[in-house]
Amino acid sequence: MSRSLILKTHKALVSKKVSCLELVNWYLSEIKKSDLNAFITVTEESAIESAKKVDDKIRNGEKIGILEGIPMSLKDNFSTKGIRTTCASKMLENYYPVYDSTVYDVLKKAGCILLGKANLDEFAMGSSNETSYFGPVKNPHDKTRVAGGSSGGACASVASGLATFSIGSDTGGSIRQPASFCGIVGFKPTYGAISRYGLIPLASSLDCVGPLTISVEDASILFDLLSFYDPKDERCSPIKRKPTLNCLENEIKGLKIGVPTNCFYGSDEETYNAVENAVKFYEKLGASVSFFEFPELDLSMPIYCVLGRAETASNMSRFDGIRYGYKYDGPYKDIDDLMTRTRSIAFGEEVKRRILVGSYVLSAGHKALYKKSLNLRNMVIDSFNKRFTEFDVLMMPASPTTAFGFNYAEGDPLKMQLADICVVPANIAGLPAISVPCGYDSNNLPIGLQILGKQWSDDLIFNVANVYEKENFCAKIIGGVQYEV
Amino acid sequence: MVNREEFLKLCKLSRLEFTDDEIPKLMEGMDSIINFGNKVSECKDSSIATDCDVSFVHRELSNIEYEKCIRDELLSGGTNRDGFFFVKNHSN
Repeated sequence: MSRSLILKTHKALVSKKVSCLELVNWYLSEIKKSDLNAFITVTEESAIESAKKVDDKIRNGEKIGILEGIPMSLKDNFSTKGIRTTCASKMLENYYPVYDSTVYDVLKKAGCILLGKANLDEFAMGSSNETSYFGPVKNPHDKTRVAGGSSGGACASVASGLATFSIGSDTGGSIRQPASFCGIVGFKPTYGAISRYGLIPLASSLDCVGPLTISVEDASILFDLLSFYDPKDERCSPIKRKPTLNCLENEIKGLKIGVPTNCFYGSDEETYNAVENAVKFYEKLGASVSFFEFPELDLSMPIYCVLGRAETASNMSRFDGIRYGYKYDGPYKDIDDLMTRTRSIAFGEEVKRRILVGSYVLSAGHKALYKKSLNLRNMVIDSFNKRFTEFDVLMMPASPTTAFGFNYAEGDPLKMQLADICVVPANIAGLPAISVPCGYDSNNLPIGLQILGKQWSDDLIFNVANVYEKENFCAKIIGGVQYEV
Repeated sequence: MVNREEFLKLCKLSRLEFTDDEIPKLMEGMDSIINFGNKVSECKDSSIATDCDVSFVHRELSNIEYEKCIRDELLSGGTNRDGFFFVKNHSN
């Protein structure tokens, strides 16, 4: 039986077991009942309108596409024409974009139905979804814990049956870490594979777009749809993509797996055991496994702290209270004063701190640090290239721990940043990486296995993840819409 | 360690202002991140060529043509996808 929720939903629609309107109303009613705070904006009216159109087509005997009528959520940092796009910030609380992001445009053209815009850390800056201006997101598996971040709302919506799938962004693990915390599949593609046009940027040399789903197959379907050259994103690659969906069932006998042991420092025991068991599973299928030290990986986080914040400070300078977004409405002396008052009121603490660190890194006297980080980033990329001459894929946890409680790192931004220690290296080197559920700890909290490959081996990553999932499927939908087909 | 004078300069540069009560906590948080980022200073310079950047494979593979990626049935029956962003020579 297929594990694909997209295909199950598609079958239910074409076999008329459920009408698209019934389905959408079902989801909308579950969203209203939910107390997870997964959504910032619910697009009820347009979702119902779109559902009626799909039902008309089915009634008229017209063929519908696989994604047509599939209810989805979208992280609220993707521009959606005429639909509020807040980035979970007071700065954009009332911002209605005048254009669609490429990703949303394609999903709309494929017939997907947007249920709403999902909560996130403010401007995607955070690892727990606690920095959102609209409040934190609760983890569906344990409401006293965080959903992870920054795509916390998107992941919680999928894990709690409030959307069939979602789309997130990943600058330093923001797809894979919350996917791991919520027990779903999160895929960060090769840098440049999916267009970021219309994604409100965080750190442009790191930002990626990717799917959040219940199964690997669903993630593969969405990747194949969304991965194409878009000249509107300067770093979107023009190379021809390899399809991933028809590679899912390839045999993995002879696969060479590397497991960097230093990735487990700081991991809790149950996470270590779950990842080790997953690796043993591959060994049984004929893969070879080598554990090794990968010291260059440890440089990724310091490099990220420097380069990520420098790019963030640069990107955030567009929010000045003049062109769009919040504007201070009291008296001011001059334009500088207006900008300062606007930004000081409308940005949250974490955003301000990242801008300040970015300004520090880019200011006169500290440029050596920035240049050194660029230089070392090249070294990390080169080290990965060398490792991928020995191994086909690398495996490690997606997070050193399972979901933590609220206020876990209160007043300690470094502690929160280190929650992303396992996921940042793939962003530094532009690699494809997936988090796939690989078990639960003694508190019944999900654990994620992370699989990384060399650039443009996205097809292999899906293949390797799918082989595991086929025999060890453990994603759960907690409440929300559930139905058998 | 960022001192108060430097902090205030950064605030001006960043177009941000804070109350006196907010400053110590922010400075402390900044320090922890900057000190951590400063670990890169302890490393030797790498001899890797500067053209080895995050998108290097894009250039290496730019002449390789793969089969088309999107299966027709994914979009069949869906609305027309010949949107403005598809470039003829590069669309899949």
